[in-house]
Amino acid sequence: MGIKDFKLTRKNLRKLIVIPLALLAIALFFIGSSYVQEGQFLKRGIDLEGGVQITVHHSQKTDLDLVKSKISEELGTTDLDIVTTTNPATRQQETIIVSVGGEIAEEKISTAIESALGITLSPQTYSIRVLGPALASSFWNQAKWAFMFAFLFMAGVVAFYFRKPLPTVAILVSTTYDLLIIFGFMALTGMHLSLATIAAVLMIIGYSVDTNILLTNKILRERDGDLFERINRGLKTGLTMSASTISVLLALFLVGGAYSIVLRQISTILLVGLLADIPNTWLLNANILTWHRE
Amino acid sequence: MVLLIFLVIAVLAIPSFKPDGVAVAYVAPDSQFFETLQPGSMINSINGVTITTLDEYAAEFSKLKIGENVTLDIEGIQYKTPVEPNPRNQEMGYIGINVMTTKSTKLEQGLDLQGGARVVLRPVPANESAIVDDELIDTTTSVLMARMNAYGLKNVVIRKIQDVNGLTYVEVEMAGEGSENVVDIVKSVGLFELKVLNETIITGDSIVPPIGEPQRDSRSGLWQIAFAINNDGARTLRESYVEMAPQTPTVCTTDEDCEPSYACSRGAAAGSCLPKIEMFLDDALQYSAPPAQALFETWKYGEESKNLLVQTNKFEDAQKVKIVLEAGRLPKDVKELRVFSQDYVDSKLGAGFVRGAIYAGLAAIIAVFLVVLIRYRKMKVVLPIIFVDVAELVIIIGFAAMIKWSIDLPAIAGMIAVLGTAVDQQIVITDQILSGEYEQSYNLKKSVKTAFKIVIIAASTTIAAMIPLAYPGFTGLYALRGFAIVTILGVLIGLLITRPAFARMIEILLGE
Repeated sequence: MGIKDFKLTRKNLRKLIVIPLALLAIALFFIGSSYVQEGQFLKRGIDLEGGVQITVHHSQKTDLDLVKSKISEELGTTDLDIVTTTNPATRQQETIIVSVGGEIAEEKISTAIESALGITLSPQTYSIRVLGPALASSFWNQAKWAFMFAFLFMAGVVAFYFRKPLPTVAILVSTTYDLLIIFGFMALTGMHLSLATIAAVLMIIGYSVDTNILLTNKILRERDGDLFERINRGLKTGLTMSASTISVLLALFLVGGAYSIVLRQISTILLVGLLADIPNTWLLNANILTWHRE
Repeated sequence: MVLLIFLVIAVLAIPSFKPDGVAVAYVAPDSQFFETLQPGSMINSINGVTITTLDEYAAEFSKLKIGENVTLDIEGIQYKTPVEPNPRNQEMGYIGINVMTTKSTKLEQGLDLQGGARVVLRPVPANESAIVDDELIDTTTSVLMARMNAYGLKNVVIRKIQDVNGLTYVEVEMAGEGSENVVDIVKSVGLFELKVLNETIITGDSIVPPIGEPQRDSRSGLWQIAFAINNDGARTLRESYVEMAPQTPTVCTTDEDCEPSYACSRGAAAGSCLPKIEMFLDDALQYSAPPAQALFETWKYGEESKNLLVQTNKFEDAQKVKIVLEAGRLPKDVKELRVFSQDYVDSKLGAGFVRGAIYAGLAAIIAVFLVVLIRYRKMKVVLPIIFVDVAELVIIIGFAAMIKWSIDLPAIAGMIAVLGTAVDQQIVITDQILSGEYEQSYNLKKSVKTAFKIVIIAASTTIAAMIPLAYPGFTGLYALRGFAIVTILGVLIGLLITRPAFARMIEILLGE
């Protein structure tokens, strides 16, 4: 990678803070423009808004855009999403998943799908998921509460361990940073919030802290050797940690994600979060802590 | 060494010591095997062809010809029996047993992986302003339970769930058996009415279970369900009908000769126009026909009939009538069951997920292996890491098997994510021990202790973040509970078992 010989020094650390800040700016931009365009920060999928999701076993290559416009026309709605899953081993398409938000009846949607794809839906060839809006909004509420509690509990654990305000605040800032980058990514790619993405976001709240704790320990708790020598050793450990988790998630994304949307969503969010965590921990958080120390 | 003990336990917990194959799941009452076969018996072969998968069973089964003999080898005993026509489809053979696969593992698979249906509903009271209280929910639940039992479904879970507003819902989950029909049976209110000339004469209260199995009438091709009513019902029916029927019925030869609501009842001589007896289930007309002339005569003379018959066109309708009548109707105050959410996963999709999960797991382990290899380059370090990781996954799975936790997709994602944290922590420990080279006052124990402090904190934050998901009050997030629990479990197992074991191993291997 060439980064093998890279070391953080007092000088370049200060300059490199540009990277995480730039990423943050980009993320905020996308979140903001999503708000302007759609009226909400992030789009909610049918898990949280209600709607119908039909998964059809269909291996013929299809022009998704054409299918999408046909179905959208027939149902009279644009709240429509189509994705596919593939078997990575055979590279063959396995299913087509059509998600329609709102309260359109399943029968209308199945008929639209049948005519757009030119097939008939019979019991072994498709799966259907219907969620009413009343229940969905109750789920959304719960998701928001869960998110808040997770953040609070995590903050509590960190505060309990470090007992000093600065490292705690720094870590909380760090986690918020990761979350903002993830949301920015979702806004950029139009990814919907779903139960799976919420689970992944909560996981990031727990995960991203790991490298930050390592860094904070190196800077504030350990005493031997030069500060930056310690930081660099920590960097090596931290990068290996991140690399291993990222490779696990890549495996999950490439292999599992091909089969299932749930796995795809969880692994994407975790990947983005962990990738963002690297500059976050070692460039942003490091700056905050070393600055404090001086 | 604690690790090894747990590992062994886990490895033993997973297999169920039954071979992979096909076993009897349910024996229909009208089957020749009703008294002789037990659910759970392994089906070894049909007509000499060994059966190990459902596909093989289906393939052999479709070759069976009606009227011919079929030989089944079940648990080593041979059974020979003629093949009858299938009530659902005259072209196909029928021996009256449902089959299921047996897995060689005791792992319970959730809906995502097995296929099945899940419905969330709430009773809507007839009186709009009435409160739906716990008692109503409980009665509804027990009626639904009775229906599912009548249908013969083994894998049905009926749960009460509550949302943050305090509203209670009934969730019916049927894993391994998914069909729109079953959902219909669940949704049905079960109101049975027998009407003559638009007046309700008797209702489901008069029905005496059991209800007969649907039988096909070979002449009309219709499916018949016979059932009995109690004395009061029989009396009311006879009295009301005789009172409402005309003294001298119009003579007829076809239904068109009669007024609407009347039909031509044929007898030995000319037919008579008699009022139709109409039977409704949930306000849907199931049966409409006049009584046979001879029967009407016996009624006129004071004899009561306790046996009634409903006829339907399709087998599915007949089955639904039977089940709903038998299990009874929902509490009187319930107008309908409103469906709030409905999931139907076909088993092919589920099998695809299982495959995906297994491949992803393997890919993940390979990925870890590569990364660790590049970083440390020493097999002494790499092998323990991999070994401990795999062991940890096995222990988690074994635990899940022991507590019969259903594994679903998010749970699998959780396991793979736990693998990620596990590797993270092992790297922290390894590096801490290795860094002993740099420090003047190197103390192995102290290094490990520091490493563990970091590991504990990392584990606690992950657990803290996952706790809200596991909280039972968040019913909507029920789907994610598997993810949360697997993650928390994995982290704890890592913290208490595998991480210390790993530290010991590394200490021994490196710390000389």
